[in-house]
Amino acid sequence: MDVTSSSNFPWVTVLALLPLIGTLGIMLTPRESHDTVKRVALGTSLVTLAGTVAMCLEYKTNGARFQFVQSYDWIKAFGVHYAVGVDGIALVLILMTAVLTPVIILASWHEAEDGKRGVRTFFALLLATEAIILGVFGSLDVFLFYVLFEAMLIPIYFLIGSYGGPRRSYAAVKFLLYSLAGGLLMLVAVIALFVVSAHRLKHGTFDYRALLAGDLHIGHGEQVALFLGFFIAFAIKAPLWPFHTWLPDAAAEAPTGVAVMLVGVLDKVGTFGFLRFCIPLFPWAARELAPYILGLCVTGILYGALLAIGQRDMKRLVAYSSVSHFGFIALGIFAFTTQGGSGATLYMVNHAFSTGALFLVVGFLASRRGSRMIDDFGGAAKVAPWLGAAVLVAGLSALSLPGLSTFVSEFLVLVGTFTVHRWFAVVAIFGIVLAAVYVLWMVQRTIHGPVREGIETFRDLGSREAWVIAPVLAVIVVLGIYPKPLLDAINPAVKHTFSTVRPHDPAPSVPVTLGGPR
Amino acid sequence: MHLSLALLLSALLFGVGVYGVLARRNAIALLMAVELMLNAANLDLVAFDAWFKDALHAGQVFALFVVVVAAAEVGVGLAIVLAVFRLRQTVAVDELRQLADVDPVLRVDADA
Amino acid sequence: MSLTQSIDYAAISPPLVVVVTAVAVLLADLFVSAEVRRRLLAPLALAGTLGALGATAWLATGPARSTFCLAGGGCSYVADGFATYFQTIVLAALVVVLLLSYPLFDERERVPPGQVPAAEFLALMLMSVSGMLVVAAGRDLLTLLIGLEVVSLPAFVLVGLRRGDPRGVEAALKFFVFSVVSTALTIYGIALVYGTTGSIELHHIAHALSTRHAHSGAMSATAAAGVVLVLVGFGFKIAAVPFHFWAPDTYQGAPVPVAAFLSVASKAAGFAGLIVLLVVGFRPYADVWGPAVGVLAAVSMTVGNLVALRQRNVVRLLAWSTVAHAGYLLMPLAVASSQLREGVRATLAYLGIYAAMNLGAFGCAVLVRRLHPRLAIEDLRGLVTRAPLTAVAFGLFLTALAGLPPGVAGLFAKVVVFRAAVHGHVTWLAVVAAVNTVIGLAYYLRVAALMFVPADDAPVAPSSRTWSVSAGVAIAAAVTVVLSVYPQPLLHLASTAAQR
Repeated sequence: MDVTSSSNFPWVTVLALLPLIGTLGIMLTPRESHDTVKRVALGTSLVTLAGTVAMCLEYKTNGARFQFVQSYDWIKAFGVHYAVGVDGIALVLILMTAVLTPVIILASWHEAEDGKRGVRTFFALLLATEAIILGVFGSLDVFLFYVLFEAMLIPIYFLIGSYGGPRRSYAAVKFLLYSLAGGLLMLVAVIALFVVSAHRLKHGTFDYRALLAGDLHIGHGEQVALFLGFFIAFAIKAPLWPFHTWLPDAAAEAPTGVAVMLVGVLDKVGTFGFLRFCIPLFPWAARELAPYILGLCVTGILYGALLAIGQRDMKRLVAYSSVSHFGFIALGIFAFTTQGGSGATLYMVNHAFSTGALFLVVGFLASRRGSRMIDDFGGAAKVAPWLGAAVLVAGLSALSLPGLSTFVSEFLVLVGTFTVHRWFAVVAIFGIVLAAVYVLWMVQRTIHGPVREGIETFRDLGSREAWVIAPVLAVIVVLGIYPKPLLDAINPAVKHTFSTVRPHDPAPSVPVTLGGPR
Repeated sequence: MHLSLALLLSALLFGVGVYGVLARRNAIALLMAVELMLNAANLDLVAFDAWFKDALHAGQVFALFVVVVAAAEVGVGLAIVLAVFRLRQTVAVDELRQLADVDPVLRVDADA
Repeated sequence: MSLTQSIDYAAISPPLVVVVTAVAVLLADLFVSAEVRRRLLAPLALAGTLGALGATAWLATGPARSTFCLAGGGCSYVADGFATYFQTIVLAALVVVLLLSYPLFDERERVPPGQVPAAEFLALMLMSVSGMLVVAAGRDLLTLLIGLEVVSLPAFVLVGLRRGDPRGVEAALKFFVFSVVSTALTIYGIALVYGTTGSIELHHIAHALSTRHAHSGAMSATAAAGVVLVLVGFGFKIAAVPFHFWAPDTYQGAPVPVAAFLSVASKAAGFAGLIVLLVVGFRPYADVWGPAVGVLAAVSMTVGNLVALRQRNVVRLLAWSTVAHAGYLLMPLAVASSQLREGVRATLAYLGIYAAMNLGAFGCAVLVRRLHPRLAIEDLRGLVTRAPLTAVAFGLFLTALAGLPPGVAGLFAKVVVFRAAVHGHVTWLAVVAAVNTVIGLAYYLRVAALMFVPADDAPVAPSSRTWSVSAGVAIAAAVTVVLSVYPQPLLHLASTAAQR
């Protein structure tokens, strides 16, 4: 059993604690020493990244379903545990979070200096967000997950509400209300799940693994109700059409770094939740409702893309393009095929980097021009060639150019869907066409064409900006060429996830080791 | 004397007391109505005690305590009524409407 | 027959210490110069409370002690796990309330308007608490009644003690009138129960009632009427609908710390007496009071929450919320069957968590009152920029009362009572409570969200004497956080307290 036994080192706890320690460290530094604060924040996030990489190296792709598991009774009376551990899906999402956080911190270097609440709070909140998200991905107890899921709202609310754009207050409150509404539904479902487990098992429990192993056989009506409780909460968080309306406001008003955190990392908790809870725990309901959900996904893909075409504000454009992309992710998930699920998981990672890159370059452009409107730009590439190149690559990744990472995942999602729901896949392909329209349109009007007034004095990428964008673009390119390590980790986990809803992939099957175009 | 006669008298007294509490708006009269209710209970307690021939005389002891409680209540109650009269020049309970669910905020404004 | 009685002073040490402290405070006020009074009185009261708390803790570790026992068995005063649980809650609440009320005190001969005379306030509060401690341990009708009166009489005065405050005395009078009427009903009910059972000792009553109940007839009906009348009296004390009318007006007119005291300590005492009566004394009539308690619970939470929705004053909102919480607290008692022990355990656990979060919320109201004397909810807009720590703490308590993270303690409390109700087969009540929880979210979160609307105000520096208020709020917050993270000890204590 040498191969399958995994290390007992409590990686998840350690990784979630590291940013928290950083938060404490930041709160202890003097109020005025901005540079120290930023260095502590960046250093902490890099240490966390190093730890995450170490965890990934120790992870056995052919090992147990959940590894680095720790489980202690927390509140015995309610069957609540402190249970953490990762499967392949959680692993890559944790890695994604750990890679993006230093980028976000570096991108926000000068962000808070005119904020109301000061630099210290800003970076403390960013690190707290990272800690909570790592905890969410790593939790193996439904109650623990729920508490952390709700706790995520707090730092993000303050980051948007205190450091955002002119309509920050509106955007922050809208974000909060939507999320709380979803959270409430989920709370009801969580408690109901406990009651059901108390009924079916001898004693009620929130332990995810016990719930899986317990083979609950929940009645059909109950399954649908519980499924919807979780599903709507995650659909709001993801966000899936028609629960998306908070996203454009929140993303547009949030500072660049926070927008990346919000859309790139935090929203993945929603799609992660589909895979973690909705499908394995309530397979019957998932199967029955899947066609409707796929309908929502396809609608979202087209709707998001069409609205993105109509936007004049670049940040809102990126936000709407994300609505479209989240449609793709959910499409892959609810097709219940290994390719679809693996593609969707890979898509979560790729979308974080691709959208992150777009938000970052939009942030660079906006900080130079003082405006986010497409009409205010033109010919930027002639004045600032490197910046232009960054915009171009980021844009191409958003339209899934073959060779870039997003192509692999989109391809897998479409193949995985096509084998079981042909027409949904066909309609979704139109989303790709529309993506080409909005991306190319934006790229063409901002960095190409004649140099507009106010653009002549554009600086090219500074060294900090280069350090911010280069790793993101590098990841996009590398994962486009060699996604195998991630897929190796994801595939077994996805197979496990779908084992209750569809034990075997339907023929015709496409080999999932397909590594993208060479 | 039959027990039921004492109980009937007590019930009547209690009824009068309850009516007084519900109907009277003067705080002093209200207090007197409450005294009637308490004494109705006392009558019951003593009558039951005599009927049981209770060796511990729990009913009688209880009645004594109730008398003390009533005295204490009247003492505190009259002090409060006096304070109300000094500050508001009225002892009618239905005229005390500074605290009510009708627009509390505006009312507090008027005070401040 | 000996005329002297042996008294176990260790058993009655908590109320004894409190009463002695109260007398000491009054004496100190008479004989000590004003300069020394300022520094002496409040610490003296606090020390006495902590001493009583220590005595309670010591009693809790040892075996149950009883005193004032009858030759034929049955004791009037029993310091068991149940009693020490309530005594601990009441005394801990008193510590926080004393900290909250410190800025109100004035030790001079002539107390200026808006302040309260320190010695009277402290002595009255301590005396009221001594009554609560007795109620928690009282095991016969007379002890319970006297205990309740000792709770109430000083409380009337406390409500109206603020100098030159017309609203304070109005609140005191309303509180007084409702309370004495309820006491009169209780006493009449006790008289009927005594008449049908021949005893005022709870175990004897239970024994007699079970034989009475077997033969239906006039006696059984009289006993049932007595049980219901006593229940009505306690309904007033715990501010359950429809006996709640005094609560919002009294809380709003009283000094805010006194409102906190009434809503937590006084309510705890009321529940202590109610549980003892229902579970020990009136157990044979469970089929009478069970449904009645269930209806009281359902109506209390529904009315409390619905009226709270349209409140515009912070204290009134909290007052209606305490009415609603009386409903949640009653819910597990409505089980009234073989599962009653679990119900009692649930109520006890809920009460412990409720005490921490509600005291904290009232404490935050005291802090807010310094910035916004009229305490309108609208004033809270953007509080987070003016007083960030207060806003964060208030947010914690409000979410806890609502039963949401980050105030997870409130969620545990809700789950405990829900589970008890479902296990005890009063599912309809659990459904009503679930709907009410959702209604509750609306107003708690409205207030919480209002505080965190970003505004552009500058932080306000705290004034000199509010440190004690902050300390009180900090204690409540710490307890709430600890209960959110690790409620196991409290749940354990509650279940041992219910094992009698």
